Amino acid sequence: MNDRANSVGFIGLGAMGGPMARNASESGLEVYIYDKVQASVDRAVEWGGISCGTVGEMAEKVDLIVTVLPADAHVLDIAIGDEGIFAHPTPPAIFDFSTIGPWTFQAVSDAAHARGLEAYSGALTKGVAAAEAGTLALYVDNNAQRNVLCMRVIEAISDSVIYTGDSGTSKVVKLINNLVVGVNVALLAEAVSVAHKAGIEPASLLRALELGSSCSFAMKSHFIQYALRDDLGPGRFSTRYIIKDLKIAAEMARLSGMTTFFGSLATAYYRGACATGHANDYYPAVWDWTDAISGVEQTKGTDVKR
Amino acid sequence: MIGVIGLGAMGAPMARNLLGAGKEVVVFDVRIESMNPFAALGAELASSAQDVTDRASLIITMVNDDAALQDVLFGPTGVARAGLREKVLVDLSSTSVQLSRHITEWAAQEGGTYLDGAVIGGGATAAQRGRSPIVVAGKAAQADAVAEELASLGTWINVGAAGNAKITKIINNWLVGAMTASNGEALALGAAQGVDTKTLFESLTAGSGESTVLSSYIGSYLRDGTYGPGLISIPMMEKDMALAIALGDETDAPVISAELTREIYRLASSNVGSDRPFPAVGEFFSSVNR
Repeated sequence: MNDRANSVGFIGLGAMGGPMARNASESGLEVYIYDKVQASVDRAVEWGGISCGTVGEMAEKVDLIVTVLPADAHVLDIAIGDEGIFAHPTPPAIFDFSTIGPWTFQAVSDAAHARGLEAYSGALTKGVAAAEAGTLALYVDNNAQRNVLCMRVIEAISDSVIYTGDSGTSKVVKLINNLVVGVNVALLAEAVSVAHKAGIEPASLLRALELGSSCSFAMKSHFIQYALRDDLGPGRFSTRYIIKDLKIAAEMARLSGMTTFFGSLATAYYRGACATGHANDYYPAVWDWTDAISGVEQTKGTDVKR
Repeated sequence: MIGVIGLGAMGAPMARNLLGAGKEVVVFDVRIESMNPFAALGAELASSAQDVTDRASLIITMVNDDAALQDVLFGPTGVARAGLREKVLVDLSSTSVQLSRHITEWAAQEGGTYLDGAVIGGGATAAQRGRSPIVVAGKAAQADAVAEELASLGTWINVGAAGNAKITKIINNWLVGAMTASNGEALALGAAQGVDTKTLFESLTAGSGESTVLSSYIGSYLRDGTYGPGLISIPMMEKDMALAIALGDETDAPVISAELTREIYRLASSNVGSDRPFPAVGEFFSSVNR
């Protein structure tokens, strides 16, 4: 019989989930792992992750499963699919960190409650490097504070947490954050392209704007740290991913009679970036597309001059 | 001797900072009452822009718009009457790129130097502290010399050929206007989803959604119900979007977000109020689903 009070499961061992699971293990938790990608499982076994053949097998061993999955469909499948967590006779609680629509988390939460369990939700910010270092900033629903294992996971993977309120609010906060940064990056890309067309070198412009009233995290990080250095290749938060998040925000607006006027505009820009070969690049590569439409020579994200 | 023409919300603290840095300063403003306090601070008071130019080798202009600058430079008692030979003119006014180019040509003919400049943030508060972020453009060597001479005003960044400072300001204001409107829309969406606005604000400012406009305007609003001091109105911001659009026309760039942001500020002007400060544009989005 394993030590359930000291055990946790991780489903989803990708760029974020993998390092999170590892940090949980290094904090002293026994970590059970499951992922459809064998290479991810093999990597995790190396640091002591205990591989489970099925979700059901994991559900036997733990009282809490952490899920870090790419999209709504994956979370629904893992949580309430035929072979999912809540199909198990004695399911554990779930702590989901995926960026999904609040309605998807609501469905998971309803399924959990129907089985007499809690569903906890959070969201991740600060990216892959922070995930690896265990210094993520988290948004977490208030109720996680009542679960000891949730708190141990939070402690292991992060160095700052904002408790956002009722169940599902962390998803909304994450989506709004990604809406804002997605828009900021798109606006900045277009402005820098136009300034360049007008004769101002992007490096000079950004060095100036960084000191002024239009400064932002997006300017300092996405542009000055990455885009100006042409460090826009695949492996980070891609154009496809930001489009996915912007569309969820747009759906959130549609369902509540609100608008995402700027989010929709930004989504169009990112489609333009996909159309010009940047679908898998780090999403500030949209600057290459805004250069194209502004008549500035394009050179970013790939080595191809168009 | 440094001449300061225009002693408004920005010009007055700048003149004071120069005096505080031990510089010899001569001032002029069409409103006599603005000049009076400067006598006690050790400045010379001039009788006209022409008079300033006779006495100073470096002249700073800080006036409201093209019309005012045209008058200061080319009017009956303007700078041109004294001539710009071997003098340097730095214009920090919110004026057009076109006028900037005209002044560049004129200055070259005069055998003087014109540097195009703009303050791109910080407002009157930063100006008072001598911490204004200022972009300057024109001949590099002259720009560097002026930046050193005027270091007590803030940080100077060179952005290239004459006209580029005004363009940088247009770009800056475009971003400020668009981000302020888009932040407002995002916050309204969050509120409609039942997230506490203060919590959402803290989450964004701690995360990748952070920006100076978010912290300043929404931060202020959450603290005391106002968006902050000295902000331009919704219609004035619509005009700033029009300047970005004009830049698009001049350079053949779509400026898509400037076009659409202008329309948003126009809607906000009638829906929220044409006398409201521009960050109130967010209130337009809060009203969408009523």
